[in-house]
Amino acid sequence: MTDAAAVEAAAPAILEVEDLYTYIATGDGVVRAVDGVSFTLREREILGLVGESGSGKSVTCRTIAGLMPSPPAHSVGEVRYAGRPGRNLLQLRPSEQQRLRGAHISMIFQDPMSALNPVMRVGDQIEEAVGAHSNLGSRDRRRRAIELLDRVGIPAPARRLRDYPHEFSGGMRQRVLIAVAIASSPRILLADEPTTALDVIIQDQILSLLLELQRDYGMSMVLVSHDLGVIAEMCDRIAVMYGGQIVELTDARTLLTEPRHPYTISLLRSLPDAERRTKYLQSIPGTPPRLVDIQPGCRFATRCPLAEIECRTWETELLAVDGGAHLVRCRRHDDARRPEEWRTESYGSE
Amino acid sequence: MGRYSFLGQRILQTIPVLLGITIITFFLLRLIPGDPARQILGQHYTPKAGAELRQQLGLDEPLWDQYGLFMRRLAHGDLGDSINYQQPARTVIFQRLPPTLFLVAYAAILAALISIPVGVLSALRKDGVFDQVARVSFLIAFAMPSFWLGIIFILIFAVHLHLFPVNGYGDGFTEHLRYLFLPAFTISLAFSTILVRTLRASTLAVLSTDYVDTARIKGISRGAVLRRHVLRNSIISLVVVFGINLAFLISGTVLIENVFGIPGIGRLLVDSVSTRDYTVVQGTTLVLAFFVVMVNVLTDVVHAALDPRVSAG
Amino acid sequence: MSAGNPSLALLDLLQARVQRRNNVFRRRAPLVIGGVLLATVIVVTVAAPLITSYNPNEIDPLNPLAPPLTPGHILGTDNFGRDILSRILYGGRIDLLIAFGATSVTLVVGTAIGLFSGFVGGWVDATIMRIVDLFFAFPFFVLVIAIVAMLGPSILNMFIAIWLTSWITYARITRGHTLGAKQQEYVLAARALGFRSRRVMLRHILPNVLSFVVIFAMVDAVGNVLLGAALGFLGLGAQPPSPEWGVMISDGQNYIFSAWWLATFPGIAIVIVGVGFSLLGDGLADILRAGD
Repeated sequence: MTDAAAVEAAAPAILEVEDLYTYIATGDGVVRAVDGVSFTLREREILGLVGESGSGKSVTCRTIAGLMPSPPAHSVGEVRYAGRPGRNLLQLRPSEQQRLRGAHISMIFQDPMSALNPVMRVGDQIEEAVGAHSNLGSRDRRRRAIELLDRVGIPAPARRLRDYPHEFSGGMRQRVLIAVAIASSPRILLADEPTTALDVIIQDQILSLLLELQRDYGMSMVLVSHDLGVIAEMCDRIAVMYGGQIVELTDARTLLTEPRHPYTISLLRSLPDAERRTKYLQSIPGTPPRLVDIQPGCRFATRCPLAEIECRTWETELLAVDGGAHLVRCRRHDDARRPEEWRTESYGSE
Repeated sequence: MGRYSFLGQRILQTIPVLLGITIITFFLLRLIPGDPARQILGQHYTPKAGAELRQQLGLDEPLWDQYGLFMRRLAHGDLGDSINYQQPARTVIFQRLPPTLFLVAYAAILAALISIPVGVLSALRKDGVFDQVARVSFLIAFAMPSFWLGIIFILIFAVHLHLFPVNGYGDGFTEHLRYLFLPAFTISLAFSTILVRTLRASTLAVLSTDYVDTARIKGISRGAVLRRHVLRNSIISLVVVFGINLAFLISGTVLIENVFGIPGIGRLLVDSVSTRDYTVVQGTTLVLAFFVVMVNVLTDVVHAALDPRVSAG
Repeated sequence: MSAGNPSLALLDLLQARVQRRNNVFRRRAPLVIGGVLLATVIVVTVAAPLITSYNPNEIDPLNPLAPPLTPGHILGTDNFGRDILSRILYGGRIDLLIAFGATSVTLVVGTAIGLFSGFVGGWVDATIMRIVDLFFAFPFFVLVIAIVAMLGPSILNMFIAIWLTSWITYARITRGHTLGAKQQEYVLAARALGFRSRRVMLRHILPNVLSFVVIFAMVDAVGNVLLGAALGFLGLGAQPPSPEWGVMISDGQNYIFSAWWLATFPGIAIVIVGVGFSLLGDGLADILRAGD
């Protein structure tokens, strides 16, 4: 975790997402993958996006990066980037998008095996990233690629340039992917579940690497994960997502010690006390909503221990608490703080 | 495993297949109802000639010895004698080989030239106008008999438009290109139906991978993403399909050579059937089967060259 | 949280698009069109005597090479004065017979062998698969021609040649699916409960496998129609004066300069049948996928 105080001293925003919606037309109907998401990413900050699968965290990142396939998926909203004042990233021309990608905004994906071109040498893939935003000749590109591989902790980098992705282990592959992502020194790094596909021990290494790089390069990061333990360790602020919406957003310490949304509280309660780093158990009964037929009212109501009749019809919005630094999408957030309200037996609305 | 031992292994694998081919081809002649010697000699049959041939082919020997005889002759390149041409079958067959090889290669290249743009474009603009029109067109084309299509093409392009010669092979390389264009094009259309479908499917699969997203997020041009990442991977499926569907090309050749009067192996095969030149039929079958096996090895090698994961075992 | 409007507009737009795609007609179009085409072909060929008064082999020396739309001969006549339409209708019986006859036998035999092989496993399976692989190494068309050559050109021998060679694809497909299905829970459970092997095989694995087989059979039917016509064209299957479509095209080839209709119409007939089978296969595949 970076120095939270320094961050809170009103670091300027580098990315502002406002009223982002991404809807996907599928055979079963329209999937409302991202349904009204707003947040700000400050400079040098690590923002965590945590939620179950299908909560919309990945799609949010991909929408910001412009990677959602455009016939089935469509987005509205505003994404403002400090490096391009006055422009909405969702409305960039392809050439503008190209200039931004790699050098300003970059992304790493969950499964490093499928995120690297299997028939292209690793060295070529890194050099390709380097060459996208520089005029270096081939020898210099090669040198830079070796530097990058070394920086991410790959032994014998010069030799490894000629290897193919399948010749690396899972952890090494993820390091390669990171090298590719930071090749052009981006200001914003979107990390979509970077450790999910890896062993626990390797996870630690990769997270440490990311932290190091974030400090050295002064990047802002959005870290997506379904693992609350990972998020807790790395992030300055945390946004909890559910059903395509942010349901709670505040700094990490507050979220972990004084959560206000029943979903967040349930998540935290399901974490084994001893080890913060183990993945949480899926002990909240029920399943996340299908994003195709959205019912009105609060989307968590069917699984919420605190739900009341009114929750089913309440048009949800993010309520500001504690002077605005803490946002919660729950009309019973005050009650949520009181342990008596939590009946451990019954989950689901009355 | 290394590239070379992969090649070696692959070649070793063909040996049982080649052996099996010889067995089946050997049994072909035994399918002939009645007295094979009489059938083979046809008009030239005399009791003396028949007895000689029976001894030569070992037709009165036990089956195993017959096969041994067959294989020994094969090892010396002896495919028997053509009754019709009064020459060794081998001579006749190898004389007709070049036009067929030219035609097959020509057709394969044309098929690739057609299928790659159509397949990729269909995938890029999935369910768009181009995609739907292409799918309907190829659906209809798939049901067209190639020999019929060849005749229609002759009608339109050769007879009415005088763009191409009606039939024949021509002399010299450039003439070959001209004479063989319509035939090769006809064959390539049938072949393209499969290629386009495969390429479209594999391109769609590649387009949804994370590594294409990784490539995009580097900030390289769309063209570079398409060439170095999408195409480079989806083409591999074409190579695989090519080998499997080689039979398509071969059957096309047999028919088209007849329609366009090209002096190749396909025409030889059919002519030999009507003239009851059984040894040539057997020889041609053998040669064509061997050819298919060899090309399959070749496609496997190309596949391994394109995809480093293959030879890694 | 403001701006409900743009998102609602987007939602409406996409929902309309989804609804249009899911339109029942669009979804079932291939199946229906294919079915109708085939049904029509079957009906007109069977009802040929009702549609045309000519005998397909009826020679009319006074009317050779009459072009289409000649009164009484809507598709024209050939060099012998035979009515093209009648020949196509009666010839259709032969080609449809080839399609169904060749496909159904190879389907049954190949599927049975594949099921058996996959279910029994062991060296039996290995041997059968060796034989299958062997046949696969051969260019199929060449093998068929060679077999017909040896047996003597005729429709029957053509059928024999196809039966001898075409079962392998079905065997391979069904064996693959059988191997997969063997591992499935429900089969293991059934066997644990003591059901006899054959029953298990038929009751549980067969329906699963059958759907794939039927779809492939459609593609195979197209192939067999083309194959039958090709052999007829080469003089290796149906023989003149049979009105089989391939034979008709071969006859018509000689008159391509003066009378294009001799060769053209039979080809169109083949295309119609082929497209019918293909669409039917596509439609069935869609239904299968929707049912998953």
